[in-house]
Amino acid sequence: MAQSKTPYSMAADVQQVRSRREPPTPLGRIRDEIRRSNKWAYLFITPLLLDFLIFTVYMVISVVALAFQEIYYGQSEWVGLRHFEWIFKDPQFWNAMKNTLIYTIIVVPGGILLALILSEFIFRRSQRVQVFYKSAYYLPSVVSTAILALVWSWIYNPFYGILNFFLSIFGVEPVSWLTNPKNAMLSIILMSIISGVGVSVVFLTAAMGGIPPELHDAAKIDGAGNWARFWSVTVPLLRPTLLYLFVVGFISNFQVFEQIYIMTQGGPGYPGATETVGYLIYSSAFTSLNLGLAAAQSVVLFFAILVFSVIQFRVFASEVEY
Amino acid sequence: MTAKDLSSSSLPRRQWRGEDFVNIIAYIILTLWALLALFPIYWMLKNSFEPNQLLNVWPPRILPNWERLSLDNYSALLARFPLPLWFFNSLLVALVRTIGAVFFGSLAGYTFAKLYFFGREVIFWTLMAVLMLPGFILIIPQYQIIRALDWYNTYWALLVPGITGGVWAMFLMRQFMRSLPTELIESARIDGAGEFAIFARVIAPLAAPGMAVLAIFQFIGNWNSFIWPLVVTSTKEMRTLPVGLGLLSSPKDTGQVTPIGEVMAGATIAALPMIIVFLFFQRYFLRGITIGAIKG
Repeated sequence: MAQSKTPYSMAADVQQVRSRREPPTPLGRIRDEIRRSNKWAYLFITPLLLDFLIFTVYMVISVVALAFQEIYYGQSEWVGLRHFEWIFKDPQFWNAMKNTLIYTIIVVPGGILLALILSEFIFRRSQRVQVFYKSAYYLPSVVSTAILALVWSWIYNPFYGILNFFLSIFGVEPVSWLTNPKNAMLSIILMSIISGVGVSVVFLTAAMGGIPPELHDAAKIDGAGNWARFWSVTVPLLRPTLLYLFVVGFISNFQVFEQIYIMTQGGPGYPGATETVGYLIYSSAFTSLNLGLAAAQSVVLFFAILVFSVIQFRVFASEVEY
Repeated sequence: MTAKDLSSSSLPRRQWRGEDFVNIIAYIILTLWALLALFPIYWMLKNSFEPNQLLNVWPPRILPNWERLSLDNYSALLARFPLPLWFFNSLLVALVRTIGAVFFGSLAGYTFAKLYFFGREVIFWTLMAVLMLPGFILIIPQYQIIRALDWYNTYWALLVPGITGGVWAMFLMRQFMRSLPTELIESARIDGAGEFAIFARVIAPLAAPGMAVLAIFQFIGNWNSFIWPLVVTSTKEMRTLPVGLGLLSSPKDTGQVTPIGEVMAGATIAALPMIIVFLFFQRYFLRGITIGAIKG
């Protein structure tokens, strides 16, 4: 019967039991809690814990350990900080970090701003109109990025591509989208924004539905126009959703890989105009076959993402105090 | 639902009456963006049915050339690459991993939501601590462990790591299970039901809507997954659709330039099943996606 106790009644019971007969030592309390635990619970979480311990926890330890090793065909040797020293002097790595930053800083805030505007326009429409537009924006997100990248490569084709055709209507000369180092990153950014906005729109319209209409009515009585209401009522109330979209967006876009792999292979030029840290890690490991260096680059990427996440939490948290 | 619909559709429309031109601009922007989002998918479909002589021409035709549409690109691509096998691999990976995530994720989610056990909070928050861990940084050691286990280029590598759906699946189901009445579990227990039977017969049916959301997102995510199958497989026979087709873009991997019509046919084969799944379960996408984030 003890198993059926909810945590709340449990806590009360533990209190009672302790005051009556159990010695008030931490060990006694732990023993008591173990006795009252539902033993099946441990069995039920075992598969998840095994998966987690082997393929996440152990992997985190391994990637750090690998970063200090040199791996040759199964043989490994400890080399201390050699990989990190190399990374910090390596212009290719800094170029990749710069490209990744440019990509992320345009794709994430740009995409969220666009999604915010589209959501504001969609939000007050009838249910059917909302579903139509949200579905249209969301549709590219269910297609594999690799597949979208194949289609976009064809759209960007400099000789027969449809994009250059549309531009030629306005008298623009053919543009080398992916083969010119000046345009390549821009082309990949454009594709990523167009394909990714739908997910943010779904989140933002859902959050807008949770804003009490009275707040908008009150602002209207105070004489606020649509624009003023959008910036001073809607946007501040969306802060938790915006924080979520920013943090998750930064984490996933910092790892950008598929578009680069399919569309440019990190090129054109050297150091590659679209080579991102994710792509560099892949080529260090599977083209140069230097797993130790790739692991060290992964560790640096992790810290870059961590720093960015902390900054975002700080920015969003500081705005709360006004 | 109906009351909500009324308030969000008819009421504001009256407010906007004086600003019809704002409405028109809004619809123009919304529609242009919808065209932009849908155009690549249209372009993929249209190009996949047209012969290559019509594709490599200037100027390109925006509308389909109805008399010349055919399945030739599809048959040419099928003759060249083991597409049915890639399709089977993708389907197997998506199905097995989805079933794994729904079963193990629900079981763990139920346990964290409804069962009391020593260490529950500590274990839960330890798991949650890595929810935001960027997966890409673990690719290198994961590749190594697959090599060490001798799973490289096998189905084990594609199926086993992460088969429980990970912390994300557990968290989603836990959030869903928390709203289910605990009294049902207690009364089933008084009736003498075993702990697993309570999960399978009492909880699972009630949690079906949550499981559906999890299943759809897992299915699409696994069907589309790219870097993991790319890294742990090497032969043509073990590829999944996105990886096998992704290699069509670089002649250095296939040893030949694949005509663009065939590339678009391959893209359609990979994309269409997911587009159909989306249109079928639209409602779950547009609502379910936010469960984890908002209830958080």
